[in-house]
Amino acid sequence: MPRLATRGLGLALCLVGACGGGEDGPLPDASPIGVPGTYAIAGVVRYEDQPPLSSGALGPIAPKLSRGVSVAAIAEADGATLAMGVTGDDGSYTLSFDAVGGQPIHILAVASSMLPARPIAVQHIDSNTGAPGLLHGFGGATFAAGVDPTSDVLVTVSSGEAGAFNIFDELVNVMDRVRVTYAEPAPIPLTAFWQVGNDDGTYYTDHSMHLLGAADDDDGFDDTVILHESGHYIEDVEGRSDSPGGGHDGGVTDPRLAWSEGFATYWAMAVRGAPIYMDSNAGGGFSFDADSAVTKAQPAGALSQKISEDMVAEILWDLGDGGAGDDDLFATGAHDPVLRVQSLYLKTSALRNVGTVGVDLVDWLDGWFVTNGLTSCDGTRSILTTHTFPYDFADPGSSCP
Amino acid sequence: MRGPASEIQVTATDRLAYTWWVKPLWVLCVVALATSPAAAERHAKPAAPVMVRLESRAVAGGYQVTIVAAPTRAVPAVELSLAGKHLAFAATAAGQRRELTVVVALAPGAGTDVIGSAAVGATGAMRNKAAVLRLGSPRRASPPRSITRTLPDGRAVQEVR
Repeated sequence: MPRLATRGLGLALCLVGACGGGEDGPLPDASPIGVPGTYAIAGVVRYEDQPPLSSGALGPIAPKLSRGVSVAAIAEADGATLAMGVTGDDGSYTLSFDAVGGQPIHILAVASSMLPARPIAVQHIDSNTGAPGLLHGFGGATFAAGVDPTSDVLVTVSSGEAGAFNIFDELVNVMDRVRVTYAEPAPIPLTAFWQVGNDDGTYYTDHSMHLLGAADDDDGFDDTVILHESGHYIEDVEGRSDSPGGGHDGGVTDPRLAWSEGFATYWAMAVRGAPIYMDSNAGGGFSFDADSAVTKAQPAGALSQKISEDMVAEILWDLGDGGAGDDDLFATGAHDPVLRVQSLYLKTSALRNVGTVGVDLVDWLDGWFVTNGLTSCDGTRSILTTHTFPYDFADPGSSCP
Repeated sequence: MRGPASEIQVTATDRLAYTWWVKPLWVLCVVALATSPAAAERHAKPAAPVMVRLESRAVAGGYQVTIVAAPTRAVPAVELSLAGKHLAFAATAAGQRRELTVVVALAPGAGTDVIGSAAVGATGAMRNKAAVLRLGSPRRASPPRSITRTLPDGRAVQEVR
């Protein structure tokens, strides 16, 4: 009761002219109901994640902070956007807006960022025509302006939107890594197309990735699948790919396709800092451990022989990993030098006329020595011997002894 | 000028007429799509080397469901799963069919989803592909409540609450 009395006194003071509207709002202890003013709302945006297990299947729901998503304060009465902002890396936001005290408002979280550092959008797509659709958004509970100081938002799996926010969050990891690894302060925008029920396929093309949302195979929470497709974006904007595209299943295939797919899988592993590729589906899913698996080439085969994408990922991972648990003789613990061969060599250099025409593992190995020198000769030779890949160590920089 | 007699002439005024030049146009479109760089350069995700489909037919008290799997290349092993049943096969050649059949009981008017999966590869390095088949009455799922909003910066959003 004393608090109500104080509020009433504050409101009375307002009414006699001390704070009747304008930019200042009511006194701190006054009831804001019906009082025009500038109000603030703060909160945290989270989404229900289903983190992949090492088997490839999805784990139980676990709320996760939603980093860098757009937020807007929406007036319930007319849908007007009162204020906009972006969540921080702790999922938090604060918005201030002009409203009438008590006015019903809600927070809209949008799986999109227009910040130059993280130019990401997650959109719907028309599965039949391929036409891009609307951005994914989720609305929180209604709050009263000036009355409720906080409004947290939890994007639920049951809404069908949590997958979109997970895709966005993985692409935040991608953009953050691009800025560091490739020194790109403003990466080229990347759009992801996904929605529950989407049977458009999972693939990358032209600065956009398409992700399945089908009942038998939904990639909305398959972090390494999302990151794998972003690996093709890296080839596209930071490096080079001559892959003919098409299906691939870990078996031996065109060396340009094997290189491109193996690099994309390795990129996913490097971003996560773990050598496991996981893909869930209605039957559980499957996984692949690039650190423990040893896929071999034909030791007497040509440099242009068909190879497995798995072998490419395994070689790259072994060159970049290190520390406790490293099972190879080459321990740098640094993936960036492996990744930078894309931008420092493959994108700009004339390739040696061996292997296939177009970028393949042989060209990347050439670039590895050109960009990193010959100190890794012994370690690289050891890893390639394990995989029985007959590289000739005759790179254009200077040959390994 | 009229085309061959086998072609259809739709005379409704608000529809396109299917005249003699439509068929060659379709052929040109299909060829253009099949040879376009965008179609050829799609970078798909890693997949399992197997084709999977589910077949069903009504039987007394439910449905008989069969999962049919065929590897796209020779594999050391195939493991089929269907509605909780499992069956393992040894080395299987490319294109060789492997099947598992179960009977799913279903009350009249009811419906259920049946999940089938085929895993192929070597022990410890299996990859699987799944299929889902709806039996009986269709799923009644109401779509989430959504509204389209356009933000002041021009972005169009489908908001779900």
